[in-house]
Amino acid sequence: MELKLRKAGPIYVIDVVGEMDLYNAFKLKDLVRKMIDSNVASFILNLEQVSYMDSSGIGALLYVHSELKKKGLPLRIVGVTGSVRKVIELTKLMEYFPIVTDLNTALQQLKPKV
Amino acid sequence: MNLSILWAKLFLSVSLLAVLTVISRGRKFPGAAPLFVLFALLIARDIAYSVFPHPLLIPLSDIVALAALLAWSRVATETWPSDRIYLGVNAVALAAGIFLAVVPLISLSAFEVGLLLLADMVYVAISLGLVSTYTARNVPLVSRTRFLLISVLFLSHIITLLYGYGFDWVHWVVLPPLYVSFFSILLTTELFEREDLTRTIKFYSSSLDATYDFMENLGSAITAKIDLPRVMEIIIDSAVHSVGADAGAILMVDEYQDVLRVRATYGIYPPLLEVPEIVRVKASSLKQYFTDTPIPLGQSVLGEAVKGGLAILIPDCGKDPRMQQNSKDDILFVSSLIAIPLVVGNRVLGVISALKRATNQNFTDEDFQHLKTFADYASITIDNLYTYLEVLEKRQMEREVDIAAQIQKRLLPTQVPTLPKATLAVHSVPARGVSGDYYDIIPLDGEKVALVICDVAGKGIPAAMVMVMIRSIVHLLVGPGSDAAATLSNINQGITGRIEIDHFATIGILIYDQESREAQYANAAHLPLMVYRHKTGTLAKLDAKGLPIGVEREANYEQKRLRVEPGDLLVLCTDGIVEAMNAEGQQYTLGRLKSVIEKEASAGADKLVESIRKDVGVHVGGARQHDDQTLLLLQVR
Repeated sequence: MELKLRKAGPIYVIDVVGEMDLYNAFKLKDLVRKMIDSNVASFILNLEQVSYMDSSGIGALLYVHSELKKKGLPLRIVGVTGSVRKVIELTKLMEYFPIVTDLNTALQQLKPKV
Repeated sequence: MNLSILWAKLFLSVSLLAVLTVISRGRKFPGAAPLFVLFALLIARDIAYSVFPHPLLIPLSDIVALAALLAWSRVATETWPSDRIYLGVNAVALAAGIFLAVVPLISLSAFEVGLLLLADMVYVAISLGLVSTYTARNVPLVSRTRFLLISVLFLSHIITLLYGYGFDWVHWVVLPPLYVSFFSILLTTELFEREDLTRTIKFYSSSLDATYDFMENLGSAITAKIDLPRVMEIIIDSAVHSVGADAGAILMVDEYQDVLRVRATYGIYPPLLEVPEIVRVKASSLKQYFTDTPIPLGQSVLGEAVKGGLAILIPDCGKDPRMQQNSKDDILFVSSLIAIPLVVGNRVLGVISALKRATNQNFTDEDFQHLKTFADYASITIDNLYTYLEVLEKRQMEREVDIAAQIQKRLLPTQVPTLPKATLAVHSVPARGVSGDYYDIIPLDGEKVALVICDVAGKGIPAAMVMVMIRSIVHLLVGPGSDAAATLSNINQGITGRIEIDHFATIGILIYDQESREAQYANAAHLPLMVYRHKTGTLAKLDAKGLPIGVEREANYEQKRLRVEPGDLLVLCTDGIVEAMNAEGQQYTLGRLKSVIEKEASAGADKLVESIRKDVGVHVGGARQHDDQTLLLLQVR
């Protein structure tokens, strides 16, 4: 799994690339923890390029979601399609996660209000 | 000028040239070329004067000689301020002088040229006087000779200005001090180079000491316990001392972002980028700011060293545009800087940097070379430690995995109970390193039996502990009167908030009453229950709504009821079965499981489980099992 960071104004987009499983899901947790520590305030997780996700991947998503919720920081998850969508549906978390259809919608929603 | 003076001058000039040739051959001699020009000029003009004693010859040639002397000081100290006006004025004067000497349109006296020479000497004197350790190299060459040179030049010039070149005594007075001062240049250079050699030897022996110290400190830090921050501190400490720096820092490339993060500092290493006004006030807040602020790759000298993979030496920061913000006379001041990337193979791990912060202090080429060698060692050391820590972590993880497997083994039922009106069969194979599946079969009073199937996310001891908690709650709560949905709610409330959310669990609970042949089923996001109807020979999924355990404290769980007939099958399984992968990465799938069940259902529970086990085995082939596989089967009799 590879994690890439992009910045759109104050919003950080994390692109997750590759497999998100037992052996590397912790990386996402580490990254988000570090980002919270360095005062990043707005997060978008882009799962479009995730090729495989298991329950540990779901665990990492749950972790990120709950950590940000605790801190009152907004999160959007985009790119939920194919096998990733299937796994999230199977664990009945489609409604639970703040999933939106595409990146632009997510950016629009998180854009600071002027 | 009589012949004896000419011979004396020629003798001295040739001696100068000879000495210069001998001591400058095959070695470093700063400013040798202009001196050659100067001495050759002295010889040439004396010979010329003996043949053609024009009064302007000596003063005009002195203009060139003085320029050569100035050039010597520039070349020797490797500083190049613009002498354009000086050279321009003198070139014009020289050309005009030569022209008027040949075509005497107006008469030009030696005295008038001498006045220009006097002005030139003031310029040269100021130039020599301005050479300082802060801006120049090989400074002692100039600083040790300039007093003698300047005073002799002025003195002899004033005498010739007053009395001209006509009297022999003028020559006899002027000659000795002038040549002595020229010889002193040669002597000083020779002595300086010797001192330099001694200094170099001393430098290398001291750096050898520093390297030994470094190795020794490193050794003790590593044997005690691998403490990477401590190792980094030792590295920067040794690096700073080995080059006599005032401050130093190690920055490593971040794992995810293209930034450098400070890992260790020595002394006060000021940020090399603009800093907010507020942190300038105190050294401690400046230090904190530097440590806390990541540097994007490519930005500042440090980021540049990493991005380009190139070592950087800035002897004098005042002259480098990249160091503008550190050149003012304030808390950020840096006089000299070295930044060397830490490279292993073709990976740049980070950068090590040392600073001098006192005015007039500059790193030399030797310092630069030395720190480069040091950085090589440091890179290898750090890289090895990283690798070692990874191995250590992996080994620790493996040990943990074994413990977790032990816990899991003890939690699972040792045998499948025999029931009066139903047959149970189990297929359960843990995968090494995972230990996430848990199942239970709990016979209850009054002909009831509870089947529990559970998959905890994550691995290792944390996952095993969640399993222990779930099992404890299940065994405490499940009784003849309990219902499946309420049991799930209770498990969820007992666990949510007490475990790491990424060790959430999916659980399916089935409570079957053999007497009434009624089942109740609730599901916390596990794979749905599969119901095989003997009458129709088909398998259907039965799901119930609910979030995974450990996610939301107030989650609601739906309860489904169903009635079954003899021969019907109730099947619970984990995703380790349906997602079992072969070498090509293809999953076993629910469809294939369904078809095996429908085909073999009549053979009885035990045989059916055996068939499923075999079929999954056929599919997987030689591929490694990635996840625990568990399947529970209840056949109504």
